[in-house]
Amino acid sequence: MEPMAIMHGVSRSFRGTKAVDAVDLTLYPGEIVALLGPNGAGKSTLLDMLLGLRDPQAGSVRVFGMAPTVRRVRARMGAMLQDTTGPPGLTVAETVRLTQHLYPRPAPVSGLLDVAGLSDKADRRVGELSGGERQRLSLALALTGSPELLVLDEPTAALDVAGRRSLLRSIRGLAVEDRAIVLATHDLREAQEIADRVVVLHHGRKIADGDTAEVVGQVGVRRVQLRTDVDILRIANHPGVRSVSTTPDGRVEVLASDPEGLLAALFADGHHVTDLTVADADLESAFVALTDEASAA
Amino acid sequence: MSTAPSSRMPLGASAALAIFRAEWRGGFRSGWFIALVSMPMLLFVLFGTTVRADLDGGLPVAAMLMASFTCFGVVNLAIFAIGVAAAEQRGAGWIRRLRASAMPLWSFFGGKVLLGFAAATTVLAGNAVIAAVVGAGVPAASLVRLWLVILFGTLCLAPFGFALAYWVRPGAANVVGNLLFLPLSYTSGFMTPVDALPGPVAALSPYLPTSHWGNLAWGAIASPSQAADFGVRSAGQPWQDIAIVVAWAVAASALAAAGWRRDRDRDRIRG
Repeated sequence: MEPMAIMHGVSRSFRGTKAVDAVDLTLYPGEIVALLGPNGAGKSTLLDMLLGLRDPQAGSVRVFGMAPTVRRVRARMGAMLQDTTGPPGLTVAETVRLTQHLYPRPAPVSGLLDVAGLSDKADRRVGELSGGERQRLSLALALTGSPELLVLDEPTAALDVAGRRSLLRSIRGLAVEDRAIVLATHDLREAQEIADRVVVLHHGRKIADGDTAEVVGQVGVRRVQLRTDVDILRIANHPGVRSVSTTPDGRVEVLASDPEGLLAALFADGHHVTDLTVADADLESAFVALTDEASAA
Repeated sequence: MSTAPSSRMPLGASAALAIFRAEWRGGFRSGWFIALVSMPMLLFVLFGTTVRADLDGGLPVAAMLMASFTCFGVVNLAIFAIGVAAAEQRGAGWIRRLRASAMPLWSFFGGKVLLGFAAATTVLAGNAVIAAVVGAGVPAASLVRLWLVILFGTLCLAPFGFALAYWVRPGAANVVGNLLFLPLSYTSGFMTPVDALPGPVAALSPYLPTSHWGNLAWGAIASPSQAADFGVRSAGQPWQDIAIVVAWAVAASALAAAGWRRDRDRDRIRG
């Protein structure tokens, strides 16, 4: 399958600090890719370079085989950017209609409003929209050019739980065979919920890339939760333990590559262990382990 | 509502027209745009129509003041309706969103200039009607010449607005816009004859583009002798005025382009 976009060794610095550091990223049709990382990981900077809004200082970006600044390429991309809002004096429908004129193959306004869940807000002024409605308008504007590559930068930022779920459902519905969707998020559940592939960024570097199971498998840890009389520091010093924390209900949560060895040692020393569960790590656990590992390196 | 735009028009022209229509509609819905267009008419009614003197040959001074207040309005439009509004759109991320689209760059500036043309024409039409009502109307041919000068001035002053939009922080654009607007309009004789200005201020006048553009506007409706009688210093030398206005426009365009590149390349770590 031909890739839609290839970013090769792209880097971008800001006053000596690497915002993005030699990242490779390839996007294929039909996949939803989550760029996952904490604030400042370089997700938006990477997406800006993918969209041609920012040039890489090193490396190359090709989208549909061309530079992303070429207008023919931009005609095939759609972007939902952070911190952007439409002209406050226009209505929702007028704003979408204006954006139609910016693309050679625009989708119909009514269809865009339907997909974004804004049909009943078509005549409302942009300046009067709630935060969630603005995000939805932003999604409608990103879809106006019938894009084959859809770039979503923190699409659910500042939304409440219901708004987030609803918008994610809409985004999931946009996944079609000939379209790639890449979205930046720092929400692990969101990435796990929506993405086929997860790319983890940390301090501008790519530290993992694969489907959720692969990324979790890459870490090679399992999650152990228990109540015990052992000091948490002692657990942390046990071989194979990646991280130790305390859950809100007071249990100790351990990410360990050898949970059987850890438990055997605790029992052998005669410690009390209750409420024990051992499970495969989820994406959140994998993310914590990966970023801890990258920070320590 | 669901009709897609016609594909017969090139994308750049279609985008420029759409931006113009959106700005016009959105601008009129907000009170300040109406104020920008109506203020020069109001000032003309208050301070222009009350002047009852005539120049040699019977041309009413009020007709010349009609041109003055229209020019004043155009400077206002270039700085605020084009410049400050674009600065605010830059701050709101709207320009960044446009940059990510398939629209050519010129469409954005083209749409803004079309807005300036339409608003300037509205100001001129309003002032011309007011002048006619008070008996200071000018012949249609003079009015057409004045209209062309007004469009020329709008085109040449728009880059000042664009430079403001890209070099000034969005939150400070209004204040800086006033700092630009007041000297450009006041020292050019649009509100007060240049000869009546304080010495140092009057000395600045020949160096400003608006002063030379004003000469062209007054020259469009008055003969060289009438223009000289009104106080136009370069009456009968329009090419000199045109050259100076164009030179300033080129300089402002270069400044705006540099500001645009600076904004595009600005480094900051995001997300």
